[in-house]
Amino acid sequence: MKRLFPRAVPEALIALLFLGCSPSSNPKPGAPVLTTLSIVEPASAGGSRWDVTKDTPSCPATYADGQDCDPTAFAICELDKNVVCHCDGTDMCTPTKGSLTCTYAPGSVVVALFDRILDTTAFDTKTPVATLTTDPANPAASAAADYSSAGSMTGLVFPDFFGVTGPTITLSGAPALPVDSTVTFVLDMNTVRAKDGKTAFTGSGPLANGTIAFKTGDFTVVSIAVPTAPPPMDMGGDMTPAAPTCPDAAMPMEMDAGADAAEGGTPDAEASGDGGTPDAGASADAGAATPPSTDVPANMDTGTVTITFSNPVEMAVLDHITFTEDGQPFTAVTVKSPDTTMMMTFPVTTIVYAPKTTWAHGKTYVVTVDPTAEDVFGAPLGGQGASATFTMAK
Amino acid sequence: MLTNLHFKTFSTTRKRGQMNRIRGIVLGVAVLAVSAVLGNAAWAQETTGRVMGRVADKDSGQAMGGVTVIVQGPQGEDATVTDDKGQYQFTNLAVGTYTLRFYVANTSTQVEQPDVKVSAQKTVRVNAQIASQAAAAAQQTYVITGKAPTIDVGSARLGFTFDQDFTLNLPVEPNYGAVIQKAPGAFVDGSGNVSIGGATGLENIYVVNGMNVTGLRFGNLESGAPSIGGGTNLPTEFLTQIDVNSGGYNAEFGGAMGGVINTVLKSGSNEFHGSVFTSWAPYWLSADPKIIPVVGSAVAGQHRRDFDDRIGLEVGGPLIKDRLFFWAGLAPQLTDSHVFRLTYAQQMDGSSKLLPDDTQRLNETRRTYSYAATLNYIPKPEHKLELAVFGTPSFNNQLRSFQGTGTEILSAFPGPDGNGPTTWAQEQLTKTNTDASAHWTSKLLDRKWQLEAIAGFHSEYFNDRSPSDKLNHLNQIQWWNNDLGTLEGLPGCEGGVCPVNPYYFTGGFGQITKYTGNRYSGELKSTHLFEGGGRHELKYGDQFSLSTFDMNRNYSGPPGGHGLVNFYPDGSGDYILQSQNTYKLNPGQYITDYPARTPWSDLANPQGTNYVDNLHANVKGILNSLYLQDSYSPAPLRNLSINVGARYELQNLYDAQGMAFMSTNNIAPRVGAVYDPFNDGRTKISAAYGQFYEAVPMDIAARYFGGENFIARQGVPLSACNNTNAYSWTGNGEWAHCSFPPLGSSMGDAAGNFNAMPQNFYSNTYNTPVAQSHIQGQYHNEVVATLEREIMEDTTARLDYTHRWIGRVIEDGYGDPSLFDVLANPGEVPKSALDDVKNAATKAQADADAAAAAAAAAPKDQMLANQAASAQAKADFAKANVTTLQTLANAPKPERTYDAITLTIAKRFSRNWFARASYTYSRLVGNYEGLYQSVNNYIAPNGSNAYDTPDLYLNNRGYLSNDHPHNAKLDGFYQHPLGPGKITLGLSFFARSGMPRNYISNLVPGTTNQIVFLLPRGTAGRTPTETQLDGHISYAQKMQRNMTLEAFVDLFNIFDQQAALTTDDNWTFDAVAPIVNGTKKDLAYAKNISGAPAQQNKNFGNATSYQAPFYSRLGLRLMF
Repeated sequence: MKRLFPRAVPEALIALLFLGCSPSSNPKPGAPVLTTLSIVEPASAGGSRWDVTKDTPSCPATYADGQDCDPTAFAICELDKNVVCHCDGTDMCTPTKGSLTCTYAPGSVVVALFDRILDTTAFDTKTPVATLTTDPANPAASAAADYSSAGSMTGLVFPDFFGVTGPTITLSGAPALPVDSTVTFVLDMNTVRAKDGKTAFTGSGPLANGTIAFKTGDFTVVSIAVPTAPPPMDMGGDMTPAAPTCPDAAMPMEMDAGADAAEGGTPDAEASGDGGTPDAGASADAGAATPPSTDVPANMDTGTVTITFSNPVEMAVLDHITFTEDGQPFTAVTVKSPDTTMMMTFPVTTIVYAPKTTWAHGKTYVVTVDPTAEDVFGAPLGGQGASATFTMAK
Repeated sequence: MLTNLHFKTFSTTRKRGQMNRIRGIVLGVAVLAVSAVLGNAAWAQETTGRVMGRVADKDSGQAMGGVTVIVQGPQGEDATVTDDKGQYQFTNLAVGTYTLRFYVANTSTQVEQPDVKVSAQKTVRVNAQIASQAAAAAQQTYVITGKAPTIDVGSARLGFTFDQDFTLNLPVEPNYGAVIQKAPGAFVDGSGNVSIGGATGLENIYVVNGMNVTGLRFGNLESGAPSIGGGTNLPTEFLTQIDVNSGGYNAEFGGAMGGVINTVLKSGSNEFHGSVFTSWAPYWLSADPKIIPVVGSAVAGQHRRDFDDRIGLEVGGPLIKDRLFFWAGLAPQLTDSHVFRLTYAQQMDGSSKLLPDDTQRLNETRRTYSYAATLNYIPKPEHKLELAVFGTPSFNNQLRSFQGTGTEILSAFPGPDGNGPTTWAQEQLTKTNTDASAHWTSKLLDRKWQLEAIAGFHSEYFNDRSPSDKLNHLNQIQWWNNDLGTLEGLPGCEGGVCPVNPYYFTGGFGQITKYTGNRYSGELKSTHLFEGGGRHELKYGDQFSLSTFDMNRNYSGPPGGHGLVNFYPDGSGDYILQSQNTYKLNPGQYITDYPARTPWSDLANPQGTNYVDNLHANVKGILNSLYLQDSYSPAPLRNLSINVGARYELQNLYDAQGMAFMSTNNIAPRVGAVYDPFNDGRTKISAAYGQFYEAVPMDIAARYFGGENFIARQGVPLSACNNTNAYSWTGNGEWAHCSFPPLGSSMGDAAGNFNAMPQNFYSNTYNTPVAQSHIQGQYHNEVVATLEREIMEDTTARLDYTHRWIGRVIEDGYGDPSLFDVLANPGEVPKSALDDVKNAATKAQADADAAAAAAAAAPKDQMLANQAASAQAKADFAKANVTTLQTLANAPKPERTYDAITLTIAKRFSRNWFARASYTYSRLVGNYEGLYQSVNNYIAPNGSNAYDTPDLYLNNRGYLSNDHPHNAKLDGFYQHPLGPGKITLGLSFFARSGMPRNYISNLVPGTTNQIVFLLPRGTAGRTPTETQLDGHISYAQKMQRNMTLEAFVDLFNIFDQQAALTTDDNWTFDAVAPIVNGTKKDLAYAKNISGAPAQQNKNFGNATSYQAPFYSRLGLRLMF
C-alpha cells in the first residue's frame, strides 16, 4: 500500500498535537518582591500589627517619639531611616488627636511578606537570612528566621479570615530582642532569593533594602492571671462594652471588644511594671454597676495562676516568684508549665502555677514577682515588681 | 437530554417490474425507484442502522440502475431498486444479521451477500458487481463469499460497538454500565461511572431504545454504589447492542460532554428465540480484598462477598408473522455480602496494631429485579411502531458507616429496638427505576420524507433511611477528634491510641433522603432527501423534556427537633456543641425579617415560622432542543459527505418556588466531513468539529435552589445544656435541651479558632439573586479526526485523534467574606450580569437608606426599625453579590483540555476468533475536573468546590484526575469444536497509567474541607499502573434443534492484582494556604493558619482503594 505520508510526518503531527499539553507550575519568574515588613507584637501585648509598605511615608520633621501626631494623616511612618513609629489616637472624640509611638513590646517579631515563594536553600542549610543589630550593642542578639511558604494575597478565606497573605519570613531575636534598645533587622540579599537560586529579592520605598528598625520596650510583667469568679449567667457571655458617646458625635463608634471574657475563664489581671498593684479577678473590668462577689468559687480551687512577661526569662526567675496565703509564705504550689525538669523548655515568657492540692477555701493569696527578676539578658524588672491577689470563697 | 431514534428515507426514481420471488409487501416497495444515493448519511444514533451501496457491471464497471435489492433480516424483508448511478440504500433496519440479494431486471441473475452486520447508528456499504451478460445466459446465482465491510462510512463519530458476541464470549459484568468501560480510552473514574474523552463519569448520557435514561439527579448511571441512585442500568442479556459514542456527534444529538451510550433492547423476530440463564459467584471462588488501614484512624473495614446469584429468562418471537413481534425478559439478581469492622491501635512508631477481639460483622443484602419488554408492530415496511417498558426495582440493606458501631457503646448509648450497633451501621436503600417509550416511524412521499415521533417516560424513586424506624427519629451525634477508648471503652484503646477521624457517630441515622424524579420526553423528527447540486439529507426536529424532581431531606430526630449535634473537644476538656438544621426562607425573606425570633428561638419552638423538620425541594427543569442539519454529497463526489448543522438548546431550571433561576440559550454548531476514498466501504477519512452543551442535572436545582439553608450554633459549651455529661446522652433530641445564647455573642477562644465564631451562623443559599443573570450553558469544543481502513478481510485498523477543550462552565462560588453563594459562569461573567448586580445593589442601598431614615424619624416604632434592619441586610447581601460576581468574573477561565490518539485494530468474529486491541495515548490538563470532583470525592454537578473561593484557584492547574496517559486494551475469544459441542476461550486484558496525585490541605479548620491544592495539581506523582487479566471458558452443546446449552466460568482479575486505585492525598488536615507554584521541598516550610508548622498526615500516600480482587462466576445458559 502506498504510503500516505512521508515517514516523519506522523511523529511530527503527534508532537504538534500534544504541544502545550504539559502544565507548567513554575513560580512566577523574576525577583521576589518584598511587599510588606510588619512589626507584630505578641498576643500578650495586644497582638497589634504595623505594616510598612513601599508607600509608608516618612514622619514629618517635627515629629518625635511620644509627641503628638495626627492619626488621620497616617497610621505609621518612618521617623529616621527605617525606624518605624505609629500614630495612635488618644481621644476617640477627636480623631485628629494622637500620640507617636516608636516603642514596641520586646517580644515583637518582624514579618517580611513576599509576592512569591523563595529559594529554600538558605533555610535548608540554616544559613542566616537576616542580621540583627542592636543599639546599644550589648547585650548581643542574633536574628532567627522562620520561613513560611504558604499563602497568597489572591485568596479569600486565608487572607481575610486568617491573615495568611503570602510567603513570609518571620524574624525574631535569638534568644530574644534586648529590652529598651533600638533593633534593626536586615534581610540578606544574598540568601533571600528567587526559586532560581540566583535572583535576589527586591523592594521599593522603605522596603528597598529589606531593613526595618524599631525600639523595644522595658522588661515587664505583662499580666498575672489568677483564678477568678465567672461572670453571672444572666450576662449571657456578651461582654461587649457599650460604645462611648462623644458630645457631638454624629455616629456611634463600634468598639473593638478586645479580649472577651470567656465564660468560666480567667481574665487577665493587668499588672504594672512600675510596681502598681494590679486589679485582680472579676473586679478588673466587669463594668457592672454592682459587681458580684469577687471571691473565687470553691469549685475552682484547683485553678491556675499564669504569669506573663514581656521578654523571655530563664528558669532562675522562679526564685523571684513567691506566693503568700493570708500573708504567710505559701509553697504548696507547683510549676505546671513549662516543664521544669527540662532546662531546654526555658526561656519562656509565660509560667503557669497550680496548687499542689487545692487553694484553701476562705484564704487570700498573693502572687508576687520581685523587682530583681531578670529577663534572659539579665535586664531586671525594676520598680516594685508585680503582684496579684485572689480570695477563695468559703 | 433526549437522544433520538432516526430512520432515513430514500427516493426511488424509476419503477421496475416486480419479482416473482418477492412477497407482496416487498413488491410495493420494489416499484419505487431510487433517486439518489446517500454518500454520507448522517449516522443515526438509536436503535436502527442502515446499509447502502453501489451495484456495477462486473465487466465494464458501469453503474447498473434498476437492479432490485432485497434485504432479509430478523423482522422480514424490505426491497428497493438501484438508481441510475447504481446506488441503493436501506434505512431503519433493526440490529441484526442480514442477507442482501441483487436481482437484475429481466434475467434470473441473482447475487447474494450474506452475513451483513447491521448495527445501530452505523452505515455499512455493501457494493455488488454483477456480470450481467454472462449471468443472463447462465441463469445462475452468485454468492459473494467475501465479507461485507464493517466500517461505518456514514459519520465522523468516534465510537465502539459491543454486540452479543462480545458480551456472551468475554468476561464482562452482566450489565451495560460495566461493558462500556471496554471501549478504547474509557475507564471508570471516582464517580463510579465511565469517563469518556476526558470528561468525568457524570457527563455521559445513557439511552435505551432511543430514550434518555440518565440519572436525573446527578447525570450518572446506577452502579450499585451506596447512598446514591442513578440512571437505568440493564442486564446485557436484555440488549442486542451497546454502543459507545465518544465524539463527533451530529447536531441531532446533544446533552453530553462525555459520551453517548446508546443501547438497544432485544426485539422479537419471525422466529422464537430466547434464553434461560443463571450465574453464581460464590465466596469460595473469590479472594479477599486488601484491608485498608488508615494510619491515624482506628476503624477499617473489609468487604467480603457471600454470593452473587442471577437467574433470568428472555424470550421473543412473532405474534403475527412479519407484522407484530414481542420480546420480554426478567432477570433478578440476588447479592449477599458482609463487612468486617476492624479496629487498630496506633503505635508509637506510626504503625497500626490490629485489635483482633473487636471484629464485628455486618451483613448486606441487595436485590434487583430487572425487567424489560418490547412490542414491535410493522403494519407496512414504511411504518413501524415500537413500544418498550423496562425497569430495575432494587432493595438493599448495606453498610453506611462503621464509625459508630462499637458493642461497648451500647452501655452509654443504648441501641434502639435492641438491634445493636450493626443496625445503626446499615442503610435501607430502595432504588426503583421505571421506563417506558413509544417510537413511531413513517416513510412518506415515496420514501422521500421520513417522520418520527418518540415519547418516553423515565422515573426514579430513591429512599435512603435506616432500617430501624426508631433511628430515623433520633438525632445523630458526631464526635469530632475522639477515640474509641473514650467512646466505646474498647480494651487496648486506652490513652487515645484509637482515634476516629474526623468524627464518630452515635444516636440516630443522620440525613435521610427520599426523592422521586420523572422525565417526560418527546421528539418529532423530520428527514428529507432531495437533489440539489448533489444529494441532500436535510434533517430537523425538536426534542423536548420536562423533568420533575421532588426531594425530601431531613436529619433524623424527634418531631420539631431534626438535626445533627457535633461535639468538638475545645482543648480544655469540655465539649462544644454544634447543630445544624434546614431552615427555609421564602423568596425575599431574610433572617432580619424576624428580629424578634432568632432561628434558635424558632428551634426552641418547633411550630416557628422558619424552622422545618423536613426540607422539601420540589423543582423542575425543561430542556427544549431544536436542530437543523444537512448532509450533503456533491454530485461529482458522492463518496464525500459534508455535514453542517446547528443545535439550539433552551434549558430552564426552576427553584422550589417555581421561578426559573437559570435560563440558557445555547447554540451548538457542528460541521464534519466523511470521505470514502475508494467508494467501497472499506476506508474512511473523517473529521468533525462541534460544540457540546451539558444538560444540567437536577441536583443543583434541588440542593441550591430548593429552599435549603444552613444554621450552625457554634461555640456553645456543654454547660449550656441540662445534661452536662455528653456521654450519658441517649441521642434523643438532646440539643433541644440546651439553652440558646444570644445571637452574636462570642463564646469561644479568641485565638482564631473557627469554633469561636458567633453561635448563630447562617448560610442562606436561597434568596435571590444567587444566580448570575444571563447565565449561559456549560460546553466544550471538540475536533475529531479518523483514518480507518479494512486492512484485511474482517479486520480494520483505525486511528482517531480527539481534541476537546472546555468553553464555559456553570459553577457556584464566593468572593465576599460574607460568603453568599452565587451560581455563575466563572471566568466569563458577562458585563450585563455585572451591571445587573451593581444596579440591584445601588437600589437596595437606596431602599435601606430610606428605611433607616424612616426608622430614625420614629425611634420608638419597632416595626420601622425592623424594616430598616431587614432592608440593610438585603443591601449588604446585594453588595456582597457584586463583590462575588466580580471575583468570579476575574477568576481563571475554566480549562479542561483533552488530547488523545487512539489506534484500534478490530477483527470481527470469523474463522472462529474475534479480537479487538486498542491503545490510547492521551493528556488531560486543566483547572476544572468537571461534574465530579475527585479530590474530595464530591458529586455535585455544577456545584463543585472549584470556584468556591479564590483560594481554590491557586495551584489548581495541572494534570486532572482523569489523566491516564497510557491506556491499552485487548479483548478476544476463540471457539473450537470439541466433542459434540464447542469450547470458547476468551481473554480480556487492560493496562493503564495511574491517576495523578495531589498534596491537599484543609480550607477551614474543624471541617472536612480537604480541597486546597497545597502544591500545584497533579505534582504528587501517580498511583501505580493498573493491569488486569480476565478469562472466560465456556462449553456449548446443541441439545436439539435450535436449542443450545452452555456452561461457562468467568474469571476476573486472574492474577489478583490489587493495585491501589486511589491514595490518601491529604498531606495535612491543618488549614494551610496554597504554596503557590511550590515544590515538594517547600512543604517543609508550610505553616498553618496559626503560623505553626503544618502537621503532616501520617497516612498521606497510602492507598484508600484497591482494584477488586480475584473472583469468578459460574453460569449456565440455555439458548433457543
